[in-house]
Amino acid sequence: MNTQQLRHVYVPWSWLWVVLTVSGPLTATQAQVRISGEVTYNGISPVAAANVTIEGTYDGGTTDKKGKFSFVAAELGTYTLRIEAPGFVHRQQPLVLADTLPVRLRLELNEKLMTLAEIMVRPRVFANADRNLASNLKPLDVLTTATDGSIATTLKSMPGAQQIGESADLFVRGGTGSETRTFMDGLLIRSYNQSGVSGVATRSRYPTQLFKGTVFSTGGYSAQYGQALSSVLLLETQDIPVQSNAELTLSPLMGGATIQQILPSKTAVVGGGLNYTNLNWVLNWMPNQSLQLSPAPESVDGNLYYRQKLPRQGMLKAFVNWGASKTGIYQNNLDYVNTLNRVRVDNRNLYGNLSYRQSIGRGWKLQAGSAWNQNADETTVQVTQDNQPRSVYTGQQHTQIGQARAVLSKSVLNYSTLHIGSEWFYTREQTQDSGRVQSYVDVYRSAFAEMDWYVNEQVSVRVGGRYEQSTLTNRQALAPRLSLGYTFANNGLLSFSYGTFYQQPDREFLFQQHDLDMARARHTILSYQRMDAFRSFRVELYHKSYTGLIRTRPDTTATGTGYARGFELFWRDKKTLKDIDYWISYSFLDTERQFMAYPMRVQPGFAARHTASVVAKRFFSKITTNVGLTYSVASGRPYYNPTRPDDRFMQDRTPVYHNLGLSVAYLPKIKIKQAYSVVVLTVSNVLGNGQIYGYRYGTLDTSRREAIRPVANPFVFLGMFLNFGIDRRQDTINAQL
Amino acid sequence: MNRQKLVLCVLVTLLTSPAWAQLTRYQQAMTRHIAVIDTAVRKSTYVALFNSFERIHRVETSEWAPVYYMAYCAAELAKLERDPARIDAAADRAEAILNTADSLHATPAEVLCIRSMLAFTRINVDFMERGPKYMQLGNQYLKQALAKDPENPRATLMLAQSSLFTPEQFGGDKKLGHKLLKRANQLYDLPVADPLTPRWGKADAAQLLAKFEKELAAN
Repeated sequence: MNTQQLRHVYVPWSWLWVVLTVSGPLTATQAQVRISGEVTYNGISPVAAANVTIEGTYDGGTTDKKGKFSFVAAELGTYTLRIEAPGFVHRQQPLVLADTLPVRLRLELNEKLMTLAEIMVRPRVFANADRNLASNLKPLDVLTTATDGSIATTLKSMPGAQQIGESADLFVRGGTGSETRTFMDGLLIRSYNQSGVSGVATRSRYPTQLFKGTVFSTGGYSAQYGQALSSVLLLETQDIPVQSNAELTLSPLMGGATIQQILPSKTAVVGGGLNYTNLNWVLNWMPNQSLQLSPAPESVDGNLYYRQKLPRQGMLKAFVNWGASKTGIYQNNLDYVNTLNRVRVDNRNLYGNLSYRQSIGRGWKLQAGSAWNQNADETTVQVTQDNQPRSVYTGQQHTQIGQARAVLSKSVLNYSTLHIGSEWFYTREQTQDSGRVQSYVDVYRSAFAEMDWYVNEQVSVRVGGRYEQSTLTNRQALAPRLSLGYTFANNGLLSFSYGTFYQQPDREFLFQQHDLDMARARHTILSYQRMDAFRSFRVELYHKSYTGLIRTRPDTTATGTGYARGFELFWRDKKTLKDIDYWISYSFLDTERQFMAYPMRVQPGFAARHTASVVAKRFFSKITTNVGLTYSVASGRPYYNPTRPDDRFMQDRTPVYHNLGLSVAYLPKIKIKQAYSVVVLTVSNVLGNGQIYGYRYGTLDTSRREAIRPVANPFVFLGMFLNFGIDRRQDTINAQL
Repeated sequence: MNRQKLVLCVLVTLLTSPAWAQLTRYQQAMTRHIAVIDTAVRKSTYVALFNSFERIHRVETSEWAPVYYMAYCAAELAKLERDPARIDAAADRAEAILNTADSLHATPAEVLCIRSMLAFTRINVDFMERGPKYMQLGNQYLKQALAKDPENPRATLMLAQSSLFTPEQFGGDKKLGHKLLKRANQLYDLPVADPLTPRWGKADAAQLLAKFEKELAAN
């Protein structure tokens, strides 16, 4: 061993490391080059957060607010410099580092990048796809607004919908209740609400919690939907929940249980629920009952579902809902003294659907579905005079509807999506009254094509058409649809929509006659809306013209006409008032129509000229209570007064409608059996205003009349919801501690 | 000690420690940036860090660590996003990067921790509407992380935070939170061999425990 080697051995380790670490940077310094400069957009405005990189090395820098950057390159050589920044097309340029003198660079980005994700954040005219739309309701909005927890009731506080207390249907912009159609994952639900006696609003068969989102279009909607003259309500069902759970509902007027279990694969869930509602007990207690219900509405509804995630953003959903209900009412027979009519409706309903969506390759997405619906109503009218039964009428109605639907979508050209699809409906209707049977079968087909097109950062276009055909009426129709949107820099959206909408006559007319045209509505809408996360503002102006409405006098023909026009305002604000979410809506409606037995064109009985609502809710975190108030007011509606001469037809008006609703939800701190609970109290018409929806007159003796009123004033609901998470992993965490 | 001094301190200790020289060039570059993470508070710092990790990732395409830290920075950026309308886009971006990290075999428990971070972040879009779902989801990811690695300090810390800050009506539990927080602090003290293994959260854990116990003593 020579001295040299020896010296190495004796060098203390620590010294060696110092030498190594110091010499490392020292040797590198010899080739190190400081590179600094700034990045601008076209040499003018500085670009912040730009990433400047020497390709193939770790070296680079990020610009600050002033667009300045500075970094050290480790080695000399010839490189490519890459400059990229969010919202810009990246650039590359050569960089030669010949010596260690500092380099100063002025770098420019010249082209802005328009990515689909970025432009999609901005509001556009594709209403159905746009989750930012003001008319989009979330489940929580429904549960904290409506006094009955129903989607339709909440929507009545939005612009466009009328306050029609005697029906659960949505009457939109001068249209009847049957002009609004409800779709669940793209598939029609014909009997969304329970059957009931006329003049009494019923409840929905489908629990609100089934749906994760609701889009309510009050006109000018997509060519993907048809057979709705006025409006579509699009409900989207929940996907796979985060964890399995069970829920119990306890209330004097209803009881229910639901359970959903995630399967071990974690990609599927199976669930179901059962609900029993009986108003009998509660109505005995409620003061100010204006109607005599007997039997009080009673129903059983159940549902079962299965949802399965599929590869390539796919989803398969199967759903079955069945229900049975009965309800009856005693009404004075206005034609005879001491005579009562007892109307009773018994219903059975079965609805099942299957929906599927998946990417099927080459950029195509397929959405397909099918549904089956069976509905049976039995109506009994019993006339009693001086408590003696006089005569009985029974009628039965059976409906069977099968449907299938498929839509193919693909991104085409630059930033546009093409949708093509087809629908098929089989409808069998049968009615039987006092032994007389009438029935018909209709096969309805449609095909549609539509394109959503992001023309540029400002302009968006949706253009499409829909072909419809019915075998029963032997009618065909072609319905063009168009929407144009201009998005301002402040994210305001100005849009214009035009479209033609067709709808087959209601079944009672088709029983009598098959040779009837489809009714047609033309919508022209101009709207401006602006919204951010906390506030939304919308103003809309519309004109709608109707032709082909059913007239029943002198004969049943499709020759009725009408129009509706008006404007609407909506303002929602979650920010200005601390912890308070409120909205205000106002609808002005000018409409006239000649249809049914109307001798002339007049404002129909379901249309109020002015409708306004104010909704406010606040969560009081200290007492964990949410309080919601809804105040709605509507000007008087026309009603038919047979004592007036013909030229005064429908000239009378009901009193102004006021309704103040209260909804209180309290979350107690105490857990019952590890369950989270919510106690809900809702009161509709807190002030107990005497609401009158219209009048019934005697047919023979027109001097007698009776007001149509709500079931009870006010109506009170008290209930408790218990949610049990069936997730035992919490225990394992505790065991680890 | 202010943050710059702390960074300097960490860097000096790192650079002069015997271990430093044994690291590869890749590890050295990574370690230098990882050291900055614990002191980062501002958006601009995370953007710069993100870009640095991205540069390394472009060269070392098969390494999990640069992508994992990119995802972490992107998740922090989503958390710092003040405009609720942009939170989802930011979280989506982070999630996409995280999926890449996952496919490059980043530690599953650590990936789950960031998934949980993103779930909690998404609540900020609309607290009332999203709270129930994303709180559950966030907690579920953490429980999955602990099932894979019962000694993961980050999962333990985040679960402690979630138990402490969630109202009892929604499943919060102060006692459990306290226990978890103490355990997280113990776990952060366990030695870690690989310099690229995630270490973030230690200071937060200590700070939160001190604050919580002070409040507890005050009551």
